[in-house]
Amino acid sequence: MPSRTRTSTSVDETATILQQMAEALGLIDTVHPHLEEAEKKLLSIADKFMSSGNGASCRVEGLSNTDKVHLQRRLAERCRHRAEIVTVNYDELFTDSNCEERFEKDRNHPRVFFVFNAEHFISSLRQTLLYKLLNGTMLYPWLVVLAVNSQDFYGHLEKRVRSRLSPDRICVSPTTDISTYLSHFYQLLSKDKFPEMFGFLARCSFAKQLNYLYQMNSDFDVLRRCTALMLTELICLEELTTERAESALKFVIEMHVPAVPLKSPFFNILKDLSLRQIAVLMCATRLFKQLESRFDDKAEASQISFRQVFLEYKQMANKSYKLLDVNSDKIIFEEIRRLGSLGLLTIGNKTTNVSFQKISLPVDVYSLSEQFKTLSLPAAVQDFFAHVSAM
Amino acid sequence: MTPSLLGRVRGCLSSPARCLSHLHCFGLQESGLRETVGQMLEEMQQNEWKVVYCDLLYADGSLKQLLISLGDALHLLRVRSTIHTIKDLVEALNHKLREDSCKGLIICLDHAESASSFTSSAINAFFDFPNFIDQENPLVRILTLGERSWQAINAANFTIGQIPVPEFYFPIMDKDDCISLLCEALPEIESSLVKFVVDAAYIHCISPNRLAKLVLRVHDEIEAASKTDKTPIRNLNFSAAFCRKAMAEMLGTNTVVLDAKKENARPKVEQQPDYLVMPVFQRYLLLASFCASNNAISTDKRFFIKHHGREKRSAKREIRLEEKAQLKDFDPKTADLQRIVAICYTLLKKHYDDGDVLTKIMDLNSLLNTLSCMNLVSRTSSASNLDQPRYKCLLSLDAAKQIARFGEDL
Repeated sequence: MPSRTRTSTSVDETATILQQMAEALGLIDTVHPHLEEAEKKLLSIADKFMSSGNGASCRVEGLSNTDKVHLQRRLAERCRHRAEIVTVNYDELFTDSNCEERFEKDRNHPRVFFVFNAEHFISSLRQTLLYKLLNGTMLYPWLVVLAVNSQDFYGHLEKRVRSRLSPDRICVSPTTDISTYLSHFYQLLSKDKFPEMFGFLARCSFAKQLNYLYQMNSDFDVLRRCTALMLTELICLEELTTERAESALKFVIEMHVPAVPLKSPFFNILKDLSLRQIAVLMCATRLFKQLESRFDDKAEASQISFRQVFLEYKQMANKSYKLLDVNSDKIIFEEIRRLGSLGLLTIGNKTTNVSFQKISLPVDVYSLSEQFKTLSLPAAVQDFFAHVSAM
Repeated sequence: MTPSLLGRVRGCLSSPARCLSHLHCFGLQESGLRETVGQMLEEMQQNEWKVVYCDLLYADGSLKQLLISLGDALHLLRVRSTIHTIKDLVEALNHKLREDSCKGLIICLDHAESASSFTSSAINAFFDFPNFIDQENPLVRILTLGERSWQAINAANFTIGQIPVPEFYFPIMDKDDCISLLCEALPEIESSLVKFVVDAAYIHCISPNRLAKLVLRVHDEIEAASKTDKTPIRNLNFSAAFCRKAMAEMLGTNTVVLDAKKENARPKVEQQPDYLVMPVFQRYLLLASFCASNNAISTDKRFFIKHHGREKRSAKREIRLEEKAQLKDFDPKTADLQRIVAICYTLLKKHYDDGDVLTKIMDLNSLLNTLSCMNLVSRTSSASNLDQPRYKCLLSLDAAKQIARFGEDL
């Protein structure tokens, strides 16, 4: 294989590319290649509704963050002059008591209802609202669009509601083949409008990383965010090279979909703890390991008390590293509480006596022990825990 | 702080892409995350960005409360009478942003961990709201700050949104950075002393603020000692004693405080815990409640009565008892007042010749009330149960031992 050379650009060229990147970033929200089909279907339903004047309904299915707001905006643009647009968010139901009354006014006037997160209405009490809306489509010139996140929405509806909902279904599904996914990526970069920028990015090999992202999460919004973050990263750079561009994309993809779970930001915090805090956490981990080997029942092995951790810590300090010794159990209890607030330990609140309060580990004992190996600890402390874990 | 990290956050915040509506910055309190981000936001504010601060902790799981506080911070009540729903907020913001001439709005939400106290649907709807802002208006960004990563907040509680949030990790200062920062912040103190103290204390404490306090204290004590003794000794051995003492008091390290006279230090004044400075009767009552809470009733006879009869003891029985003890739940149990009083009287009679007289003059109720106020004992039965009240001792074994030994020194 030929060795890859670092490709850098001249100063003028860099300035042009950066300028184009900033412009492409501004346009990134206007690109919706994944919604083209859904938009067409929805607008045809709207046109039919406006030409006939009869009520209609449909549902838009797709995961959250699939830009259903864009569909609502396009629908509103199309129907603005001939019908009133009403957007319903499910949170209004809890806080706005007059929400339902609003639907009752001017019934005979053409209206378009766009209901976001309609799956929250499927509990039996709230289905009445859906019924009222859908029944309205039978009697008045109403168009009701239900935007739902879950695919099994239809099955949960009561018969009276289901019978009034038209079978028209618009599905916004994630991309199912990699070539379309790659073409979406290039569309997000506004390939035709910015030839210089595209020329530079075409020299980078993004295929591997995009393939990885596609396999992990083929959602278009993730791709859009990654592209936006990559462009932002590149704009912040002083020198523009293909290698930098590739590593920027790799960085932002790992930010969204960590390559290895152990590299997740959850464990970043370990490096920031003081040696005393790490020692306390290691003592707790060691106790959990011991308990697991002693009890077959995992439930029994899942909890230890503050006092047990303190005794373990004292033993470690006395035997291996005198410098870490403390003069009171309160100090260790404070550290346990701090680790609890950081989410590294879960502290039970059943007991009022601090010494006997129970703690448990929210993460797997063994993955946490693996993380300890990556930290630079004094040899004496490492030896103590290595010796114990071998026991 | 690495400039590239801040540059990256600033770049994302000021990016024209609306899809980056939510960003998360996390790092320990000691990393100076809030100060650094605050400074950056102030600079952005001067650069025609609008920044408002809110706290998820104060909203206490109520979306309405969060929206009201956001409405207050943004002065939206002038535009709309109430901000109780997300729709209200979006409409008011659309109206306000159309009038204001700013590059964009950044909503900075502190204590991101408290997002878990909201219902999943409410918090999802909240983080979704920037998508509903009109495209013609300046963009709206939500910046959350917290000690834990967004993934960790999600993993521990529930899924907030289905798409991961771009997050930026602010690491803490390492030891060398901390020393140079303290040397800059405390120019009146010798750098060798700062280095010495930070070197010794860094394994216990990573907070620059606490380390600065420690350095100042050691410095003050050295100054005071050299003034009184007029000995211009300034070597590190001399500082070590003061450093050890200050660390023991401020960070709880177990280093022996050197003899005051020998090391020319001020006389050692040990502060006694509250529970040691209490009347003798109260101490006995507390110990009795500890014994009653932590021992089974069946053991009372063996512990507190002199001739309690013979017990069969065999190796088998001992092993079984040990195994039982290992599996035993070590939590303290509730005990009847009657039992506590009986144990207390037994102890008093054992230690004092006039124990019988003492037991008659003791005012048990007031003593128990005081202990209860000090959170050393808690009543587990209802207040109306005057017949057989039950109490639980909240004292740890160490503290109980300390109290039991306290009388010996007198």
